[in-house]
Amino acid sequence: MRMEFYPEEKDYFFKKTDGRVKLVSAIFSIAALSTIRTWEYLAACLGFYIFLLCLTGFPVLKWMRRIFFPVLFAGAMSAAAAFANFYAGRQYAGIDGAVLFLRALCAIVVLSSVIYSMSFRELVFSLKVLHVPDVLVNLIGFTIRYANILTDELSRMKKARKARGYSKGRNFWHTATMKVIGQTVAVLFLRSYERSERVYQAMLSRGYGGDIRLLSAPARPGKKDFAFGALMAGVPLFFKVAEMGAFSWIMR
Amino acid sequence: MDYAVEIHNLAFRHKDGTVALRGVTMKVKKGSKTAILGHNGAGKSTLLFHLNGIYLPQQGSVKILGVEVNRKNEKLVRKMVGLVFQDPDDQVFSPTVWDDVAFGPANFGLPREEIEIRVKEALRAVVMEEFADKMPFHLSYGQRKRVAIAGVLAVKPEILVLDEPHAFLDPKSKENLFDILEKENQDGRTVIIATHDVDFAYEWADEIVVMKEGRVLAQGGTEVLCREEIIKGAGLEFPKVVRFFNRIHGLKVEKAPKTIDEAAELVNKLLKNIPQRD
Repeated sequence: MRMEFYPEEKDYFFKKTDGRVKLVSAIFSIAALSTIRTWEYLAACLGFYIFLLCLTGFPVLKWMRRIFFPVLFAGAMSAAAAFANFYAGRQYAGIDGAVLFLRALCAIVVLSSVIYSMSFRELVFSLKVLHVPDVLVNLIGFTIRYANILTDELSRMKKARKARGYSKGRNFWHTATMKVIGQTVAVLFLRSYERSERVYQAMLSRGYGGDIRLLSAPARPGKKDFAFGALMAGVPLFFKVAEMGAFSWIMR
Repeated sequence: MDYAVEIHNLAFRHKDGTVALRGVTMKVKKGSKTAILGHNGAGKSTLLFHLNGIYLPQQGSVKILGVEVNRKNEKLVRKMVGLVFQDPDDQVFSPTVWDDVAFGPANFGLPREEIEIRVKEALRAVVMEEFADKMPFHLSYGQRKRVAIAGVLAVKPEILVLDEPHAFLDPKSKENLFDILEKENQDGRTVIIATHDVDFAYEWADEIVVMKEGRVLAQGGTEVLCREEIIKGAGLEFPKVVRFFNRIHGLKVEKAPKTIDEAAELVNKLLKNIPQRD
């Protein structure tokens, strides 16, 4: 099993936009979105982002499959929060839950689409330019780089189990299955730990001293990039300002 | 005599308490092709890690081209000794082949133009130029191994060290590796490999070091691999060519052949000397 990090689609506008600008505008967008309390405004933002992605040739269908689990998780958490509020006797618990879910959904849409449209090199470069600490950049880098190897190891372990006649139990309460899954996860953690040691030694052997050197810098962002970034971050900011009553003040 | 590596009474214990090396003393000549043989757990990989300064001596000393390996000069040592790991997946981790080969030269602070030249040369040396922009995870195991070697060659080390270079390689990849090592040695590099493959060591190396339980059992020319007490003591087996000649009773040859071609030539010569019957 291989996890593709690089999108293989042709170049499209969203992908061609400068990575640094996309990342910064995503951060501003998420910051603004997380303060909006009106579900209609959040829904409007979500609609805008989906429309923007479609308009710029983003491979929406492929990308949607990738965000399925984060969305599912956000939904489950929001529902749990709504139920907790409902039982605590709070008014509008359902609407609060919906607001929470929409905020999470918007954040997932913004961040995942930005990352999906960037090459690994571009992502690392953008993070470095934004002065994200090296440790964090390394952590993100290695997570992505070694996702392939871990999934390969997991798939080898699965095959080896199958070859010895193992088959999964039918339900969650099948203790033998749970035991095997637990052992697999434990072994995977141990293997990952050992591999990380070896990778670090291999890096040291080639002169690694803890900092990442950037070998090639992409061109400076242009007007189009800035305009696109402003649009991305501007829409949630606009709704936030509207929520604060700025337009009623203007109308007066 | 100029030595690339001088090790004196080296001992090393791992964090979990396993004693890996128990007083290793050995020397490797400059420009030689040296094979370190031994069964699993003999201490070969631990020894190689000392050559690159990944492990520092807990007891004894290691000198690389006359420079003693210690914390102060480990970076210099890493520039002099290029270490290729057994599993290329431990070593090759960058998003593209080009980036991975450039990793070493970039860490040693070379300018961009020089890095580009070195990456090109290294990829050419391992015949992987056309894969420069590929993602390493999508290459075959043999190709990843070659990328790992290129990553080390790009640093232009004077000593090239490879840990189990033949592990999991198909015959064609083994042949490619043989050619790469030959070329690097002809270019003046000292090449040291740790291996289980006695046939390869016998055919390729001019210096053999046999290890057992963290000690050097024997060191010398390839004739070491023809001595029964060493082969049995180290838990190895005779090279195929040697085994073949050992089984022919009453045959005494001045020098055992090293390759199948040499063996065939010798057999043909012996057959010619047998009087023909009508």
